[in-house]
Amino acid sequence: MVTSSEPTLNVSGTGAQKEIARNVFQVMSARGRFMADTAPIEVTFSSVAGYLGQTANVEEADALAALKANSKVFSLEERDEQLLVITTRLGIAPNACATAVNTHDFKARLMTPLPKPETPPAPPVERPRVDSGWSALEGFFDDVIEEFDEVEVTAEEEVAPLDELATGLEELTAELPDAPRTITVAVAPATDVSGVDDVELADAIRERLGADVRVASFGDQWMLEDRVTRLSRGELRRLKEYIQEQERPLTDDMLVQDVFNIRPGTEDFDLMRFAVNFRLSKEHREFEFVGTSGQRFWSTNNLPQIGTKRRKPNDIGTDLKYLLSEAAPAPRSVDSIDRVLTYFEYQHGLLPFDAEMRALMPAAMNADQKTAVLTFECPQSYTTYLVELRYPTPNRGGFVLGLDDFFTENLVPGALITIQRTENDGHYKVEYLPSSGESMRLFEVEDRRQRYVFRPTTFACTVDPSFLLSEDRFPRLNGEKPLDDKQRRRPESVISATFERVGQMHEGHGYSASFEDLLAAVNIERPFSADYLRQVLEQDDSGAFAIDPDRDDVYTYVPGTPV
Amino acid sequence: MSNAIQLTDDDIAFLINVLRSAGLPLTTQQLIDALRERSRA
Repeated sequence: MVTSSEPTLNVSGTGAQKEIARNVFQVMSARGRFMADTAPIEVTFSSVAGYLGQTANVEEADALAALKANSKVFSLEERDEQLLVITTRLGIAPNACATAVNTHDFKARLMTPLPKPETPPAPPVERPRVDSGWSALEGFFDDVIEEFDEVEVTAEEEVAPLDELATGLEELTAELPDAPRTITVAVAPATDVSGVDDVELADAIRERLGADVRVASFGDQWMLEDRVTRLSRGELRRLKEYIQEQERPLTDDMLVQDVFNIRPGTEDFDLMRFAVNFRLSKEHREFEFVGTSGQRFWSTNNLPQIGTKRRKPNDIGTDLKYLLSEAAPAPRSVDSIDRVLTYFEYQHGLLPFDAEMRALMPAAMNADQKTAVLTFECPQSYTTYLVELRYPTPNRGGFVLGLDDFFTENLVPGALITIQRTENDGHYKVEYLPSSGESMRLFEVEDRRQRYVFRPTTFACTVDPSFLLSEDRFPRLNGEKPLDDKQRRRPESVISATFERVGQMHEGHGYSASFEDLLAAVNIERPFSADYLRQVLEQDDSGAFAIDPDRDDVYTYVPGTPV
Repeated sequence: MSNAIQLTDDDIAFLINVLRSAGLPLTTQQLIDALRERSRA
């Protein structure tokens, strides 16, 4: 609801002039009834004079004088040759209104903003005061301080006067030479290692540095852990994929060169090679170390098996369990060994990890290592073979697998070979003794029909005749079938079957066979060393086997005796 | 029976310094040589 009241009109002049002013204002405010309070109400002076002349008989000159006398209420303005009388509904002349009333309009507020309010000063921070309760301790330590002072006073040495001290100092300074002062700090003495041999010292270093988390080690090498390059997940994946692409274990040299594109011989190469070995050794799920200290091979999941697929490696290890009872010589204690290939070794491309081989081959680099991939180089055929050394376990003997191609391409069962170590403990040279070509019908297993046959064979290697399986020597093997697994599992059963196949039959007295023949033929079914065969023959509880007392190194077997 | 040699903490600190200053992987034999050299000095 809008309310309005009549403004208080402040008129001046004589009484007639006041009356004229009120009269004119009344007429003009009626004209501007719907106008804003401060909006100018304009009327021509001629119409005002005409109105006053008609209604109040006021002369034009008197009217003009009355308006001029009330300049606070009316203003007079000349416009277009006409005199205008201007006022507002508030009864204030527009000029005065503009100055008096418009002091706080929008324009004024926009152009003259209020000054920024001043930030009140921060209240003073009160200093933490010591609780008045502590004042009760005042004087508590006075006695102690006094005692301390007393001790100082009762010291034996008397304090020399300052003058005397100064004189003494001058004398001392005069006696000292002008040499630089040396401060000697006690140094912890180094452990005397002059009387300790390298092996013992190496053990001590391995014991202490191996347990130090600041130090990274792999094989025989040491480095500060924080200096070893870290491999990202992506880099580890690339390494794994590259090994899987090549379908065989790869050495650290190959990985650094092919995956990281670092050239051998550079400082970066050595650093990255150590990093690869150290970091991969921590990734037990993805990578497996299968190398030696001189040739560090790395393997990963799902790689094809190295070597024969005729028998599972675990079954071969079980067959070779007898090797566990052999004495274990020091690894790499001999330079080379000579061997004669048995049929079992030839057929499976393997070499038993017996005492001779243990003395030639390296030990596992760590306790968890199960296999080591080695390279066997045959200079005669310019070929290098990747072989796998399976270390013995508590239940299985060890063996080297992967020589199938070398054997079948160059040798026959009974061949003499020499294995020679090199400076690299992962690389070996294998050679055979060449001979003039010789042809003979030799024993074979026909894989398709699973039968034993003799086939004409030409070979150019020196053989040990005692291991040669020729038709002339063992004609009864022709057409025989391999023993079933149940029978071949027991060494005694294999030996008795061998007696029946190669031995001399005696009417009512069983069979007899020379140890030489037995050893050659028994190795068709499963591996036997000479010692092991003799052990089984002589320690058989059933009594089926016996030494023929009449002949040299001949054994007998009486069938029907449970073996 | 001879007592095995025990390296002290100072010896290990020395070997750590050798490894730090080398910047490259060192072999056990190189560390042994460093210990002997220090023992002689």
